[in-house]
Amino acid sequence: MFTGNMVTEAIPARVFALYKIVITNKNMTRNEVQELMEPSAIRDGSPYFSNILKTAQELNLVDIRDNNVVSTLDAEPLKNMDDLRKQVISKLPTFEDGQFYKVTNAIINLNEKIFEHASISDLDVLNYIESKTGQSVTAQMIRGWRFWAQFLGIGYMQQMTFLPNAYVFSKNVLRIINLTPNEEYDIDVFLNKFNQYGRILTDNLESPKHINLALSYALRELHDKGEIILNYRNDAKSNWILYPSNDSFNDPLTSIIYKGVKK
Amino acid sequence: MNYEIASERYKDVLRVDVINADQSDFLATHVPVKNLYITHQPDVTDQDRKQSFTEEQVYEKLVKPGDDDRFVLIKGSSGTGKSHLIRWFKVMLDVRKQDNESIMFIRRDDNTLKGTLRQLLEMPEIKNLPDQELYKKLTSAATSVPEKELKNLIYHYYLVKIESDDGKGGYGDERRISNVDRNHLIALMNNSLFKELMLADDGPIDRIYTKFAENKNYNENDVVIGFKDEDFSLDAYFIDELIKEGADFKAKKIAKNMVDDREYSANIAKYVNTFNEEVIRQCTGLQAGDLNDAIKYIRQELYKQNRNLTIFIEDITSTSGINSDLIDALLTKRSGLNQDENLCRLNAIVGATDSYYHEFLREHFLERINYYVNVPDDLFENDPDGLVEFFARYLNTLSLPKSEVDKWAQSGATPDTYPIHQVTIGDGWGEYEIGTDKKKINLFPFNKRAIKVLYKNQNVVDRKPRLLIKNIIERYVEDALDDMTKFPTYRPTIEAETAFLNANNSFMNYDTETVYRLAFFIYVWGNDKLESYEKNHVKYISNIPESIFEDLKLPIIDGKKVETPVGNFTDPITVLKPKVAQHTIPQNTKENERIIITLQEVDKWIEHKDYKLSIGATTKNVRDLNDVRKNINDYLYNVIDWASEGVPIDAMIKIQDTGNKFLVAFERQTMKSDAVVTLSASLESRKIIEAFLRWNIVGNKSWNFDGAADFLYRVEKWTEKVKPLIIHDIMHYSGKKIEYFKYAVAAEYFRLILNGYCKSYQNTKNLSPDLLLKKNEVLSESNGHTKAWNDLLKMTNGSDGIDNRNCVLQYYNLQQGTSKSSTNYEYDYVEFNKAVKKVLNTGLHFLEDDLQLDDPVRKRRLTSEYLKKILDRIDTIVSEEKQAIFLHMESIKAQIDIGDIDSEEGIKDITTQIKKFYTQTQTSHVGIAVRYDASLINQCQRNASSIYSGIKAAMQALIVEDSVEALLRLSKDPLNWLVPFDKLLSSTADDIAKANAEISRRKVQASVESSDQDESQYSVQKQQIAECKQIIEEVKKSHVDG
Repeated sequence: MFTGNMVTEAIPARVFALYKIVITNKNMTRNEVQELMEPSAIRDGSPYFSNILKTAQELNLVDIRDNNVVSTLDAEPLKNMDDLRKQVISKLPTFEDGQFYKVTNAIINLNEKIFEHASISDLDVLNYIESKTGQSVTAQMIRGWRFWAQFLGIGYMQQMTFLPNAYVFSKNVLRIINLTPNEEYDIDVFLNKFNQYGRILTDNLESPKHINLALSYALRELHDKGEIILNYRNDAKSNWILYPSNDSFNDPLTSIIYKGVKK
Repeated sequence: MNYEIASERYKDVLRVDVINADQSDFLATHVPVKNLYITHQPDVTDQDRKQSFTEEQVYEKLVKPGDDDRFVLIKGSSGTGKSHLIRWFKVMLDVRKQDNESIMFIRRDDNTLKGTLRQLLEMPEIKNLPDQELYKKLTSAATSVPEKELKNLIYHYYLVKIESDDGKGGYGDERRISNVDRNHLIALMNNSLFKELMLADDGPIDRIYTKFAENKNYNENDVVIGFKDEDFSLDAYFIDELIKEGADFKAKKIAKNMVDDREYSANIAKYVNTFNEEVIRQCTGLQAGDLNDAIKYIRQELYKQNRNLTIFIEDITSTSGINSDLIDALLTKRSGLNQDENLCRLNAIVGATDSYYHEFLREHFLERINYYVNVPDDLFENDPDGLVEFFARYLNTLSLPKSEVDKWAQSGATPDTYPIHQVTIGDGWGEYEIGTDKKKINLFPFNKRAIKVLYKNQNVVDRKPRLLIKNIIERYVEDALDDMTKFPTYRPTIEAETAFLNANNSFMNYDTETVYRLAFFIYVWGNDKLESYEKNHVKYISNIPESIFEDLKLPIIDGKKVETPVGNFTDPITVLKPKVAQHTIPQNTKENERIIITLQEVDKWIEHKDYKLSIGATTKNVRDLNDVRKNINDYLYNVIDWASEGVPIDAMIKIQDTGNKFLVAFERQTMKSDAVVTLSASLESRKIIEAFLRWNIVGNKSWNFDGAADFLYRVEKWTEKVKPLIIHDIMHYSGKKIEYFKYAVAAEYFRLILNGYCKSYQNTKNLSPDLLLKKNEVLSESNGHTKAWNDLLKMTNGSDGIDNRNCVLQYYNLQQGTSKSSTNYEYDYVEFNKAVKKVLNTGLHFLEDDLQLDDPVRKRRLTSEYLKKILDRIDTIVSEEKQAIFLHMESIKAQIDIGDIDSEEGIKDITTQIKKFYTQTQTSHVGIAVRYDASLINQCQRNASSIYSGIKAAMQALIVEDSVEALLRLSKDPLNWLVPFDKLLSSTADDIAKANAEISRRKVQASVESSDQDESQYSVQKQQIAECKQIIEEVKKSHVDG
């Protein structure tokens, strides 16, 4: 999913279900884990297990050692899907050559143009993605992409229409980068820190220093909810431009005060 | 403003329609009307628009008495100032008339027919009618009748009229509805639920009653009496109620037609409305022609006195029910057929709304009306100064003592003596200069800009004098008199003001109420910019003196410092365009108009705390609102990542499939709905509603439209806010966590037990969760269970059981989509296992109170009800099964000593002995040899092991008291083995007895025959018999006797 081609079968909840089996039952073989997830007595259709296991391995959640599936996570075991989201976001920078990373970045930078397409698997969108990523992406792959894009909080899926908004994603990035509450960060400093984990949103921007729609939504929502404060100072050395809005904060962005993200 | 006087006077001055307006106040507030059109046909053509008339010109042309009889219809939409104009004509005529002119003036008053009749009765011309019977009739018609009684009577008369009609309605030859529809309508009107709907408060009959008898709300109410299209537009909820109630099929049929078929509903309303006049007249007891007679008598009487008559009727709808008669009388000319009647000259100046004209007058009187005076909707469209003067005169009059206004009126009401009030509050807010001597009227609580902004913010159809008074002047005057530190509390939605608010983050440190007050005030009263400057040592913020902010206790935010402006400020009315709307939303498109109409409904809902948002009917704006609600629901179901949020798809679908369960509904919506999130009547909700309106109408179900990014941002932000509520609500009800999975699991285990899948388990707590994930197909083999057992087995293997098993299998299945029965299982096994073990720990015991039988979601409740059905039968099944076992065991015990059997070998020994017995009977030619049932014996011998286990299980089951545990033991089906074994033993015992009897008989016979025959002849046979006897004795000794 993250290192190779994107697949539909390995949805986040299934990857987490597999991970839970592994941390609950030690020393289970691959077949035993598969039997619990895909009870052979009642299941029809081809098995999905391989792709789910592979994705869990890509994310460093599990591995196969001595013929057993074992947990490979060094830190505290993940308790819930929120933990999984944070874990995946922290791993994302290592997948920057992967299909998921490139496709996400390409779609994000379409901004409002994405609304022109009823479905993200429209041929025009696929052609655009191919032109941007240099990879051939099928409708099936893009259908797999949507589950993780939504789960990671990059946007919402309204049927097959992608609605960008990286609020949830950005909130998790802020948690990971550990900013100091109430400290004001110049926008360049802030984005440098943010990019340690959030570069998937800021790579290949259409115009220099113009923040795309998904991240602009995210920053405005964080600001509206009091988790950060967006600032404009006319004497600042550098400023970034948010995606234009008639309704919300629309000044050039020169600094951000981190107030602390809420649960 | 003069605070003390205004506090006393403002209601009298402003509520001109309900309080009989005082003539002095009327003159003091009157602003000359300029844009009137005189036509000879009802519609104003482009040619007509080339020449407009002032009120003075219209007076000279049409009101000033001449020689001819004249009927002048003053026409315009509701609230445009028709009655104000008619009053002015009346005042002018009073002043300027000749001595022989009589004037009758029928005021709008309380705007009911009975009110109008009471006015007529007070007129000397009517009091002195020569026909006393007619006078009595009019008196009786004006008498009050109890509300409930009169409403029932109105409904009854409509029903009677329809029943006795032929489908053509009250007039004309055209068939208006088919007889089938008419019969169905009669059935519906006879239905108690429909009658209740029609008679409900604010329903059509209540509306007719209000117009006819009693203006309960004391509102303007210049609507036409009768039914509206939407009165016959029903919603699905009502149809459900009809079906539940078991209504007549004809009623149900027509009711269904009235859902979502606007044309059909409109046709029914049009048909029923043909009876309006007759029904109302019947309710008054008047007869056709009564009023015509009254007017005729008056004209004859005046003719005798050589006088003429002018009648002014402020609003003809106030005569609904008798209006045909009245208008006919007013259109009666002295010439022609009436020339011998000796009637005086008659001028009639009659006010009517456009809708009344189109719905009633045009059909009846089009050709007889010669003069129309058309009053435009927007009197001030090209007259901003007139607009401010209009406000200024009202504000001035309500601050003047009544005596001062009267004195001015009595002294000729000339402009140069027009009195100006003493200001006690609001000095410095702004002034209007009136007259040639430029007297200054204080505009508090407005200023010029506020008047123009608030006026422009009104929908075009609401920019009529009456509505400006009611919606703007009265509201802000009340607001100002109440508490200036909260002013303005009334803050209608102004789109540009919202943008202004959002663009100025320096507001955000204050509480919401302060932020909105400040933003609204700066935008409406100020110059729409957060900036400050100093002029003559006074600081101005947004062009408003700082002291005003202090008076209002509003925070003072300097904003950007700017140069002091020179000269006059730009007239805001010319620059005032909502910035956002201008920038993002294409104007004058059909789609935009549709959106604006719907948003007007939303604004009313936000502004009026008692206003219900109409949902479920079929008018376009309501349909659009209904679509908004549906589209928001669909959107939320889509964008919430249920699996990642820990909500089983099965639990979500059960809510999604529930007809009247919505994730989102509107506060105060007309249609009942059990919703998770209620959109409150607020600015935020308006944005969400507008977003989905545009998504649907402009974007054609996409976000691909101008300005979508801002709308979508609002929607997404709101989504994050409501998501936790939705997720919580889907997994809970009445504060309880939903547990239908638990019940489904328990019920499925019962199905497995009944089917015998659990016979290897000793108790329920040891049952394995994995058992549920086996194929577990229904077994078709016969069994030995009782009928009660098999009946329940059949039920659990039926469709209810299949649905229940599907629920067990799907609940923790992590699907990609939302299929209800995907077999591509991918289990959240850890959670599944945990949840099933919890169920098993209950021992499959549930109290009725724990079953969540009150769950409002039917599809979940079905699981509870299904489990209850099973639980209710368990005790009976166990008891019947135990009883049957007991009887067989007793029978078996009567034949053999069970205690001696400690393995299946014991059973085998018995069957071997029995077999030997029957073999011997054959050898010995004993009669019972024919009863040798080799098949039964072999069956028992073959199943010796099962019989042995069956006996043991039966003995255990009999001593287990817990019914569920007993059920588990009984699932081994001991009866299946006890029954044939018992049968074998019982029949063998019978046969042994019979064999003994036969042998005894043979012995006796043999002793008799022995004397006659040679003993040696039978010596061999005798020996054989002796051996047989010995064998029988041995069998008997060891198994029957022993």
